[in-house]
Amino acid sequence: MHLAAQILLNGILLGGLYGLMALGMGLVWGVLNIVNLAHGAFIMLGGYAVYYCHAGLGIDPFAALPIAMVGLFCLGYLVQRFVLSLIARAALLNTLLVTFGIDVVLTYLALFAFSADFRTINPSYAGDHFELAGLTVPLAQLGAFATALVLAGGLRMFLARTRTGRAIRATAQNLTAARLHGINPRRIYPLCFGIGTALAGAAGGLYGVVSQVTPYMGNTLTAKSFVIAILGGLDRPLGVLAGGVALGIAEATTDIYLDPTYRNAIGFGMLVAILVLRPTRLFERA
Amino acid sequence: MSTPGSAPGSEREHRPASAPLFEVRALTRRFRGLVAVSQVSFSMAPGQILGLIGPNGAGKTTLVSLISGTLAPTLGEIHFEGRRIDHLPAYRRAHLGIGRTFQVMKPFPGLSVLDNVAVGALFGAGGERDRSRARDRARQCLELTGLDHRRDQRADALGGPDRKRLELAKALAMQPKLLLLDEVMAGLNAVEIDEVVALIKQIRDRGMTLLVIEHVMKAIRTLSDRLLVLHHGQQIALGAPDEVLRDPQVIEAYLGKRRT
Amino acid sequence: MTTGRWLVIGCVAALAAVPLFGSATMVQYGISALSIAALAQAWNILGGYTGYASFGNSVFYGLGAYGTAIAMVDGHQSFGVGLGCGVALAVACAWLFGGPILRLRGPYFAIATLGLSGAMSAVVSNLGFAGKNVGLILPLYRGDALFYELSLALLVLCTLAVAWISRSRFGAGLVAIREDEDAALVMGVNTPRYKALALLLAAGFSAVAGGIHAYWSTFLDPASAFDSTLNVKMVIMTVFGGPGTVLGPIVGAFSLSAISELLASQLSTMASAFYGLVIVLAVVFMPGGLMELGRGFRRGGRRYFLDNMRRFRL
Repeated sequence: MHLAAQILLNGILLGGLYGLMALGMGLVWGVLNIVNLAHGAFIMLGGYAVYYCHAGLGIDPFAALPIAMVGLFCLGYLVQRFVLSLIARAALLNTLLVTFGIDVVLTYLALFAFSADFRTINPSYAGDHFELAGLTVPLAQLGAFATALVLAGGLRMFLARTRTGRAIRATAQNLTAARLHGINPRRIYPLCFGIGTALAGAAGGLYGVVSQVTPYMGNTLTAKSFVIAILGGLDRPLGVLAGGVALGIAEATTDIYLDPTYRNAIGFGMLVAILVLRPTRLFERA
Repeated sequence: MSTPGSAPGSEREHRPASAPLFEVRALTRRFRGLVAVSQVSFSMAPGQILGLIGPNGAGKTTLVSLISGTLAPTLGEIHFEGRRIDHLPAYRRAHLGIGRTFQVMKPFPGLSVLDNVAVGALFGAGGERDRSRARDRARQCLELTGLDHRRDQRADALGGPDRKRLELAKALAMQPKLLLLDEVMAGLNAVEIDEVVALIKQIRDRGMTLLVIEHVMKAIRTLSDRLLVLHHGQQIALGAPDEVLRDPQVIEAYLGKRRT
Repeated sequence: MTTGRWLVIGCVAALAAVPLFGSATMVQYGISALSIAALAQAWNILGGYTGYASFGNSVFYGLGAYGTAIAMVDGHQSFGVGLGCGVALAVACAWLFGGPILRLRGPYFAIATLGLSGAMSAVVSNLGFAGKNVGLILPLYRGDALFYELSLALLVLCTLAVAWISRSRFGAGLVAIREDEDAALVMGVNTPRYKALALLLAAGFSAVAGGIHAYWSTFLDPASAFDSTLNVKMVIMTVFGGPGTVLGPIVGAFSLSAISELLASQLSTMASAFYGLVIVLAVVFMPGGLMELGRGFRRGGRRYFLDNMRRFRL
């Protein structure tokens, strides 16, 4: 029982991080109508950015997050501005293919630049934890969870309160109507994609702290982000965070009752099941 | 049924002469809270033209979708040539002889106009197995609708009025017994409307039965044998066009209530 | 027409004669190029003609490989029987999952197939009789010429099937589904059955390729059998050559295999990154593939690329 509670807690903490990963994907999907298959690759790049800030420059990983976010914002902005904008009105297969292509390019460039070695971001407090009600709470994981919460809340505030945020939401709901109100998608789209990749970068850095960074980590994380974005509702940041926690708990439950090797089977199984069982809701969104 | 298009006349002899080709009984469709079509009942004799009118959002297109099978009814029955069809998938209804056009036109954008229409000839009620013979039949339908000179163009290169004609040609190539036309005249000018009206009459004279949704009141009045009026999904009138259009309830539906 | 047919027969005969004259490395390169071309052609049935972009065809390839391997290793069967088992397994899986997954459209279908491939790989890694993560070792057979001819035969068979599809009523139905599924349904195309048949065909051909590859390489593990980059290659080669055409996937597969072979001798990671770059450029500048490029370029010259770009720009 105690073990189960502990694993559940770990699931919740990791789930918050999953939710952060999905935030950017959901935002891009909802506003640009692009299912970004390169999302995991941007997460991976964020991981490496924070890794090199920490290992190379000695910056604390949490302090390095803003650096990674700015870097990935610029990268995402440029990718949308110069590549994705060319296929903004193309068939969905074509946008999928292009983002898949970007994913492949980024993955193998990373493999070339950083090698296939597993990297762990190891700050001095990496193994620290404290006891709470008989449960062990790992400090780094808690920090990651809190950061995810802050960023999700921040995104929500940004979308609800600021002029640009409202313009983004208007574009998501109705592009034509937004255009009539003087909103220029050529300005909004790259901005929005950049925010998406910046969030991915933050998630990647945190993931590097609680887990590992490899060039290949993107694929499963793209799939997970996709599941969560659907679970949570694309443009509801706190809903997406909750979706991430749901997946984290599902994975933790798998660890208890089945075997950790089934983790991916459960994640992907959930993905297929959600798609098949809730098609009507999805089609209304798209 | 097994051999589509085989002498529909002989099948007809098994039924009394007055038997309807098509009948709808208490047909209802709900979308969550909203009742889009409520308790609609009517029947159509072979060779008849039934006009379907009503204000925007009255449920006209929903009714056509229920009949053609792209939507499933919540309640009620649909009978076609004496058999119940409301549980059949849309493609089976097409094989039996129900064709439709879409108000929001659905051409096959990447195919030539000819190949668009050939799909109807290949898979419709007169199911032509051979692709070259299907093209021959498609040519006939294109000539009938005045689109033959554009047969080699891609469908997405067509302008608005030609797209309407293409919708019609595709449905005709299916050789349906019952043809459901969803606003084929919208966006056409007066001359083009007269052409379509003449074409619909010509189709009817060949023995086809038609259900026509239209907003162009003059056209629908001259065309229809009977008129069915929907309002908020309810069937508020059914009868001869002139009588129906004099009905105070119908006038109220279109112009709004005089008193609140 | 007939000259074209003789030309094709001549090409096939020349390809079939390669093991007689070519070097061992040439034959080995030929085996991979032919089988990836066959996989691209199989993908073309579902992705090119029917418009359902599958990222799960590697599942059928993997199941074909595993079915063959399990029958040969655990059941001590011959290769022929093993191949039959592999195809049966893949087709059964396609039949089982096809129903629910083919109800999804567009990106939802694509992502679901991606998920299916991930789940399948994870499940197989946990099955004892499939060798878990460690993998299976198949009986060794030294006869690259045989594997070469088998791969060629598969490609020819697959292409004949696609050629038939491109002219048949069945193919017209698939294309109608690709262009507008709702309209196809209302016009009398039995869309559920047509989509299922397209998937079964693609699954069967992919499974044969998997079985041949398993026996040829004599070793099989989940990572190589369910390799998602293999699926990406199928998609890229088909899209690069010309989706929904008979020869497009072959042209795409042969040209990209040749280029990546040249690059791989220099830098293997850059060869993979190159694939990604090719797909981005191909989709942006020539979404109809090499087959359409020929026609478009003759008509419009360099403008063809710019027109494609303008068509879909924001």
